[in-house]
Amino acid sequence: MRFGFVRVLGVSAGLLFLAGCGGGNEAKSGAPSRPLVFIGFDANPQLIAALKSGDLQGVVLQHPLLMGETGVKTLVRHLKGEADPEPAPPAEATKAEAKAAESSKTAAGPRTISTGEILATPENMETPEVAERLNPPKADHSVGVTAAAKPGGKVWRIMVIPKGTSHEFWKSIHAGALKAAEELGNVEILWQGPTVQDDIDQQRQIIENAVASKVDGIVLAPADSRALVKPVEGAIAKGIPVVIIDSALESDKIVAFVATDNHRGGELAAKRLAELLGERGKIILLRYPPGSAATQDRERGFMETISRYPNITYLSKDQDSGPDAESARAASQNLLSRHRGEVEAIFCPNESSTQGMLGALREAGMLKKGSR
Amino acid sequence: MNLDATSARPEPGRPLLSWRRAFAALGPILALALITLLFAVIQKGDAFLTPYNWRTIAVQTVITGTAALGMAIVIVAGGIDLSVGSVAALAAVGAGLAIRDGHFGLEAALAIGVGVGILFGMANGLLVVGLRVIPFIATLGTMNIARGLAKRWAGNTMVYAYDPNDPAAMASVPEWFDSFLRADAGTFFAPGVWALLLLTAATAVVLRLTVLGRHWIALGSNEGASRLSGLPVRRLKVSAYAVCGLFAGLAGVMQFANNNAVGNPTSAVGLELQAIAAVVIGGGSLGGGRASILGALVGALIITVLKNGCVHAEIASETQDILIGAIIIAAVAVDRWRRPGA
Repeated sequence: MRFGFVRVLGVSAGLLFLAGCGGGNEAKSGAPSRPLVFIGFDANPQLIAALKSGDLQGVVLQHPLLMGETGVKTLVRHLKGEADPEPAPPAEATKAEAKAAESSKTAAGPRTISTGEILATPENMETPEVAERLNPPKADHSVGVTAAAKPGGKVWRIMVIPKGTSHEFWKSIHAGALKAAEELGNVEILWQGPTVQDDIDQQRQIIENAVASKVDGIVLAPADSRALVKPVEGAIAKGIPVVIIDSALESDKIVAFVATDNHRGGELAAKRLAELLGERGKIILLRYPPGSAATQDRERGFMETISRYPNITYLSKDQDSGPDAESARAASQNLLSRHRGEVEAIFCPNESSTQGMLGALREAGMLKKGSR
Repeated sequence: MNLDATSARPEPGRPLLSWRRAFAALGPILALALITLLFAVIQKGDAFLTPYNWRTIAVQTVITGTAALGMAIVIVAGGIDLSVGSVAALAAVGAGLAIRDGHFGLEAALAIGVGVGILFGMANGLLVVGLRVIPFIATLGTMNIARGLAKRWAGNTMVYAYDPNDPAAMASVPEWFDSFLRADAGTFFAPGVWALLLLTAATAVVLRLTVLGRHWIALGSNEGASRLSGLPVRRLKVSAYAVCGLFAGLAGVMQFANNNAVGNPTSAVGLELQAIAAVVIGGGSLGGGRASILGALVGALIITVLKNGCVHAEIASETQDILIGAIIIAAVAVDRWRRPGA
């Protein structure tokens, strides 16, 4: 056994040596001379720093604060039996956003409220409108319950269920929900999210627990557009209304759907990418694992827009990033190792995939600055 | 009960090096060579065999490989540890908090992270021997406890040890830490890869050549016999889980380094399953008494090569999962075939 071990060690050392041989750090020859175009979705402190340094040429920003706030307010209005007010576009919304909100209103099914999306670039990130969206207020997740009860009034207990808790995005959703509770009064926010981003089973259990504990209403960001239809409709059947935020659910029994127009977010990213590429080049789309309607809509919007540019072709569009930044980094490393020297632009459809790709690009030395 | 691995000496009448032994030890390496060859043939581009790609594969193996070393020790001693992934996340969060809130230096913070791992490992061992809960259940419990603690300590979000928007703070991160798992850093391989190779050698020496290691193997082979022959069974168990916790802590702080000094409480979910898969592919037996340290390393490498190779062969993500599952089953099936007595 001992002899066998030594022998095995020798063989493996030989293999490792062979693999390591060649040394150096040479990239493939014929690397493109233009800097890599990298577009992401959502922001966190590291991504904002990357935008500032020019490592990222753009991120599509959503409006989570408004999303959380509108979700809770729409639900409470429904609970109080108040008529839905005309969905006034948010004050800072652009013309295009207002138009998007208008068009979605005419669509069949439950009322859709768009909370708007904008593209942040290294050039416009200092403007007040973008700067505010880059750094939206965030709530500390450890605050589980917030009650703002006026004496004597009925307190509405609202369970808010995000898709996960680790992304910055959900902290702003939480802040928006708390803001709505504070402004409305008599609203208690119960915040309960799954441990792992997009854990469908855990979301189902949280919904069931919410029903069992007789909350007045649920605001849910569903991790899957179909798998959660049953528990949600079960809750509605028991008289608990549900407002869906962020990502669609295939049900017409819900009160309303409050979200970013993710399809348009993907279009914004594609247009920026095509513009910077001069409408010609080879690109990678790193997907998010299937199931989430929000990221799928972004990918679809991106691909539909890209298909209008005949000279932009995909090197890869069928690899997914896994659930977190670490898995996204490994997936990105493999993609970059495969397509080093060929790839000219990259799009990632959410925060964790953008973060993972950023780390992989840095270590591959594929960013113009070469900063950390 | 596998007496084969309990003795460093060959049994009387059997040669020191038989073909069967050589094949058993070389099995995982042969499998790795075959898989490598396969991808070299079916790849769509020409980058699979480049040094850069193999440096990438090497850094991707480090975290799973480190966790697999600890798992191999627990498995050889007849146990299992399902808390490894959660403990790794807890260690990463602990290191991040030590810097952000405790204002410790980086090295001290990393030591704290590893210390958290050792403590949790010891707790696992004490639960197993003290409450006599079977390891699967005890560590299933601590898996949830460690994950909950990690999220709680982290305030349910990322722990940024250094403010990414503060250039001075980011500049204070030492180069070795920054480049620890960077594919293009180091001589031949990134420093983290060399660390893994050293850890592997050290673990193999401890398991094969020290009394402690032989006792772990004896314990895993036959607990009753070990007790009757006067081995300190309880202490051996606690020490095996503590070592596994040590490696989980190391994997956690490596994850922390890999994530740019950000402690992510929801990271490393399922790391324990990857580690178990690596040990099993490498020839380990979940029945205890048998595991190869080098095999575990090669097992971890096989998993990474599969994932990487599939990208080069342009095989979609969902197909990769199926392939990895099939390889785990095939590895164990081949293992049964080549050791009919086991």
